[in-house]
Amino acid sequence: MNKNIVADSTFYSCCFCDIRRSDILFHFLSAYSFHLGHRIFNELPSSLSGNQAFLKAVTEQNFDYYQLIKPFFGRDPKHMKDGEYEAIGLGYLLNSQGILHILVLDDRRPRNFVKNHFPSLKTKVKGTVGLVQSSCCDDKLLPQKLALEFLEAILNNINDGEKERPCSIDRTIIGAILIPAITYIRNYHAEQ
Amino acid sequence: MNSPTQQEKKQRAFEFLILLLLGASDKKVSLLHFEKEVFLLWNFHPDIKEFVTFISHYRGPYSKEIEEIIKNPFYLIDCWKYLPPQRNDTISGGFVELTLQGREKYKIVYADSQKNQKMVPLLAAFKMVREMYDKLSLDELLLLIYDSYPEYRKKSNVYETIHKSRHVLADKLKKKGFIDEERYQTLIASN
Repeated sequence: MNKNIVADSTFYSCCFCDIRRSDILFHFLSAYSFHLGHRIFNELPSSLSGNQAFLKAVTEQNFDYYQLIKPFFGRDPKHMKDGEYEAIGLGYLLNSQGILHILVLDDRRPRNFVKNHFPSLKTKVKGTVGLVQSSCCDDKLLPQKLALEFLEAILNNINDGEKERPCSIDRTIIGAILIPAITYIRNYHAEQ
Repeated sequence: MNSPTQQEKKQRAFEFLILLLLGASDKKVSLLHFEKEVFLLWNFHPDIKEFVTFISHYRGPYSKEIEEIIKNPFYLIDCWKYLPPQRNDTISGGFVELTLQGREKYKIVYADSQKNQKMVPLLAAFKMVREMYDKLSLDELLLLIYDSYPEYRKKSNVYETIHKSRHVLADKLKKKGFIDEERYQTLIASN
């Protein structure tokens, strides 16, 4: 059985829109079980959320998780549709059953929320870059070539100024996260 | 023997839900916390709406059904113990905790419920709310609830006091890492 991943919409958008590598997205979808709900769906481009192969590859679960955490974020309607809270809720659900592998959150606010409220979930949280590295070097489910193409595409995307924050990554964290991940993947495979 | 009425079945099922929420943490919980946690679950899952109603009351969203079941359960006798509030405590509504018998019962009911796919998300939600809200003080909890659900300020006899203390309470919440700057700012705003 595939390992379970819950990812916020930034992961899907990063693959599909920012770096335009739907082949890598579908590689991920075949290697893992991805779970999402209608809030995350609604944040995806319609060309992806309406894609039959995509719909077949993911597991949909719909609950209004924002209602459980609303007091910590307030009643501003702008948050009610945020997919990241749904991702946290789904992540918690799978983790409580002992079957969550990775929770992908790229934005700082939901990551901090998880860190401060759910210690048991903290070690499962990664960003998109962390997922790529882990999938390639720990799980060995993403070939090195695809992993490096993925991360280099993000880097090029930022350097070309094509998109301001692909995968929620901006220039300030290139050196802290992106370059070290590329180096790690290159060295890891060189040592094998 | 007569078969149970719909109302009796409902009451029994609700007592089991109460047991599952009480057992979702090992710690005792104030009635105020417990009631607000059920309120959040009531907003989250349509099935909970069958069992309970909430009205605006002295300390925010209030449910007569919860208070009655906690104080006088009909089916799950001796599974939990209600501890009335101390004389100077006007907010908590008292405390409730599972007894040893209740803890054993909880284990059995939890294991059974896990086999029911419809129950699995609810069981996780029970643990989630206990983990998030039990750690708040009574005043911190009320501040977050009144701010998030202003329609439940009506009839409150503590809202004004909580509102006046909002800077201190929001500071504490932020220092403990429970809220971020954005939420802090909305809490201290005077709406």
